[in-house]
Amino acid sequence: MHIIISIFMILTVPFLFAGLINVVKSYWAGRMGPSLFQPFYDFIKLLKKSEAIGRRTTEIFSLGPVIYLSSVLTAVLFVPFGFNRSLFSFSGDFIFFAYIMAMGNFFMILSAMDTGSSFEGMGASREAVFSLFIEPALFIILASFIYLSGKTSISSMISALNFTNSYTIVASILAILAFFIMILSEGKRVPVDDPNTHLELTMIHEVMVLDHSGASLAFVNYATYLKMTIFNALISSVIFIESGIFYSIAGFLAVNVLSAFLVGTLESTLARFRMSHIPQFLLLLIGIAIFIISSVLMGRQRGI
Amino acid sequence: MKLYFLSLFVIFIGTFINLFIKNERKTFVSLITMLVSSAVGMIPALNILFSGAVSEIRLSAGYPIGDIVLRMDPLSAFFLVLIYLGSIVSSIYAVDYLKKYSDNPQFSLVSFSFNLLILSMLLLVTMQNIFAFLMVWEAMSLTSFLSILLEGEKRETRRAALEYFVYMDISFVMILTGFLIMSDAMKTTEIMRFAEYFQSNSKYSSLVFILLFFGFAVKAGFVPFHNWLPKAHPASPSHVSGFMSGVMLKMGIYGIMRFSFFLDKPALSEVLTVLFVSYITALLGILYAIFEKDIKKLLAFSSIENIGIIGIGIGLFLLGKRYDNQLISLLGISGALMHSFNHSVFKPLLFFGAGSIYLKTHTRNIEKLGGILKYLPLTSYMFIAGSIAISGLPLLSGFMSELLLYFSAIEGVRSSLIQITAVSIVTIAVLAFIGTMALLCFTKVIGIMLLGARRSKEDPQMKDDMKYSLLSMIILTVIIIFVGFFPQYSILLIKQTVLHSSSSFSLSLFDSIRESLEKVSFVSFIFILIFIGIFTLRQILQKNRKKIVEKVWDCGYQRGSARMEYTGASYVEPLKNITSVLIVEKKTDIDIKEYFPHAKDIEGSREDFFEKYMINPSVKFLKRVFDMFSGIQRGSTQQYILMGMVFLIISLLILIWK
Repeated sequence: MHIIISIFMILTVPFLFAGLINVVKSYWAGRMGPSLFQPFYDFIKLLKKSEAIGRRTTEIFSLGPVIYLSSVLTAVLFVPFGFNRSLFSFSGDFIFFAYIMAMGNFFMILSAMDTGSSFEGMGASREAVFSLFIEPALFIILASFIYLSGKTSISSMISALNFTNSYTIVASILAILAFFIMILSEGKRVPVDDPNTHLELTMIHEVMVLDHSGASLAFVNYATYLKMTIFNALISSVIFIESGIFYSIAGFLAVNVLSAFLVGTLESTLARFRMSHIPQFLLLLIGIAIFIISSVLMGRQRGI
Repeated sequence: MKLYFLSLFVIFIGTFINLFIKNERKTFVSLITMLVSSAVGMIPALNILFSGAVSEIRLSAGYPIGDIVLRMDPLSAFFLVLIYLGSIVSSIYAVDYLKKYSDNPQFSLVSFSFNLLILSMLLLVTMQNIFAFLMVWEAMSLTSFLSILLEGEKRETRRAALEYFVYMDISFVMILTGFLIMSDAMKTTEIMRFAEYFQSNSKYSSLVFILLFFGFAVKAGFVPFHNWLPKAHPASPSHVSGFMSGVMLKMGIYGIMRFSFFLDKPALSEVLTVLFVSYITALLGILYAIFEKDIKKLLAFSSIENIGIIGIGIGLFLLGKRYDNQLISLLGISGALMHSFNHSVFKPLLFFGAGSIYLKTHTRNIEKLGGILKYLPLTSYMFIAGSIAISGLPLLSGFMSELLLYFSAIEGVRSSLIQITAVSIVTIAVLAFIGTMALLCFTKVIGIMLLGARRSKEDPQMKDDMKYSLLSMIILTVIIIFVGFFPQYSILLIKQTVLHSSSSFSLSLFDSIRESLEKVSFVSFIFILIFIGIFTLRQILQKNRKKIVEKVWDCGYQRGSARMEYTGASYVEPLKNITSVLIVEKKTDIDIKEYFPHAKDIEGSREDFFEKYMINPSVKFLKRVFDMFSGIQRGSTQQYILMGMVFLIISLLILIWK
């Protein structure tokens, strides 16, 4: 029963999350805005459409989105959400988690390069370079959780956090901040990327999927929403540790709502950073990760 | 051991026969020689690899050399298997690749020396006598030097080969010095007996270890001695560069492993030297690979990166040994061995793919290629498989060996000693960084070279018609896929070697790794299931719809051509801005002085950071020092004889005085 509910939740919440961001954005803009379920309607509509493909493309072009979505779905298996427990876990599973998502990226980039268009190459190049910083930061943060808890799988290391130490609290708050930045960068939101931009030269993710249409586009969009929800789940599992099924489900939904509100607000109040400033912004992630690891190391050595 | 000698003998005979037949038949004879020799030699090698036994044969030689002992233990057997495997696939590949060169004047030389190269490497990994070891070591360098020279009429090829040879001599001197110090202290000429030297805690033991490490590191291609690789690999024919990169570099790794097995409680300086050099090697290797546009050079730099990863594994092995943490050290050495194996499978695959593309298009510059996948689909897909494996992405073999290294580092993070934790966290960060950079590097290669539109206007009539080269690539691809999906079985290959590497490893510890690998294999299959599900969903949705094939969006411009495609240089431009410190660029810009515009050339090249700031200045310094002695060199024989006499008398006097 638990498994069915959690699978249902993780599959549907991404649509609501994306819808909510749009609702928040239209609230700030003073518009009526689309319905909360609009991303889901779009998804269904796109699935029904036929696809247009480029003349120069090969099978890689249409395989890319499929592998991208299946890699993110596989990554979902390892994320604790809802019940603070992941569907599947083994020692060191976070490496598989990160690498399988990297695999999805790999094929998405190839799929973009396959069109032979200069715009898509541009997007692919930016995507590849900007994602350089995320994985090391994620690994350092999770390594410090391992150091704190002595456990090695994502769900066990997070549920073994002990909030009676002050350094665990510091590390968790910083980790939540880092996860939020990862939502922005992995979900391609402002200030890293603007999903609503209309100029190809300033796009990152959008220009990568410029020529994808129909079901492929639906898969790519859904996978991107799902990625954001994965990081929301990580945040919620850090906050709501071992707090019963009801609270953790409520907590997971609450974190989604809050983070949608924050993303929407950021998007309405902030402009996208200049392209050359984005690496600096993402290097912040590694800075935070180093902060976390050093606070944890010092804290435990001194026994604060 | 008898079968092992028989396999050496087969190669010897095959090489001899090869001298007397027509060029066109040589590759076939080599192939048959290698197949027979490997079939014979694999039997004892695999037997020892899986049983963990040790067999030894002793040949007595005269006074200065002492007894020559050939000893086959699991470590040698592991490398023997690598050599046999590499020699089979590169001989198969060579049949097609060398067809074009059959009237080349150097053809006989290359085919002859390549066989001898394999022979010397087979001897090297079992040789126990240090003098014989060094002789075989030199033979290996010499024969590989000669195998590079297929296109020896080109100046750059000769230069690259010579530079390679100089590096190998530096390596030789370092190893020789280390051997002589140990042999003097222990009064022995057998390598296995040196174990006692390291256990006796003598004063210089860590110095000797570091000296040997650097000596073998030159061969393996560790930074800062890496620079021969990106020059020698592009110069040599593809089957040789695949073999050199996949297998010959591992001889350096063999030496490092052999001596790190001897260390019971390594000093901190030894551990940190190995780890630090490996970090730099891996990071710099992949960074330079990213900016390379010559495909073979790029692969050579990526070999440097992989050697760094193997070095990290050896470093973790030593780290665990130093602090008596068996699990770290067991996982570290398993990762290093497994990555050696994997690298010797996917690197030849990539070199072979690049070679086939070079044969068809006559260029190694990826900026001039593009859209190859449409013409050579099979080659290209196998190249992509190799790229996924080398980037360490899941499902294929590279991931599995990197995973073992991650496991080792994770174990280190959990340790209660802050030294281990700190080193392990740095290791995790470095591995993650390498992984993402490898992804950037190989998406560039595939995206620019295989996908998109063809950039040059030359005749696009090419087909996947080289049967032998495809066959060799298929063999390698199958191995990659098997290792990736069934890591729990493929790790059995290194079981005995790992258990042999330290006396404190237990079987149950090794089996615990297999359990977690089983789960990884399970998840890989889940991924495949999900993939199939989504793929069929898409097929069903698209079933009754017509596929619209259109021009891609290019902002409304109607005459977009392949020249407007994104290039490799532009693909990595964002990273170049970030890492500009390490990338030394030279640009020769031809200025226009006339009033009217005309054609203009810009030439850009990249210099190696270490070559510019370390190698070249030290060479210049040495040259200055030796120039001071140039006065002695007069060219008259009488004077040289006189000098020899003076030298002899002085050394006699010193001996008497002592």
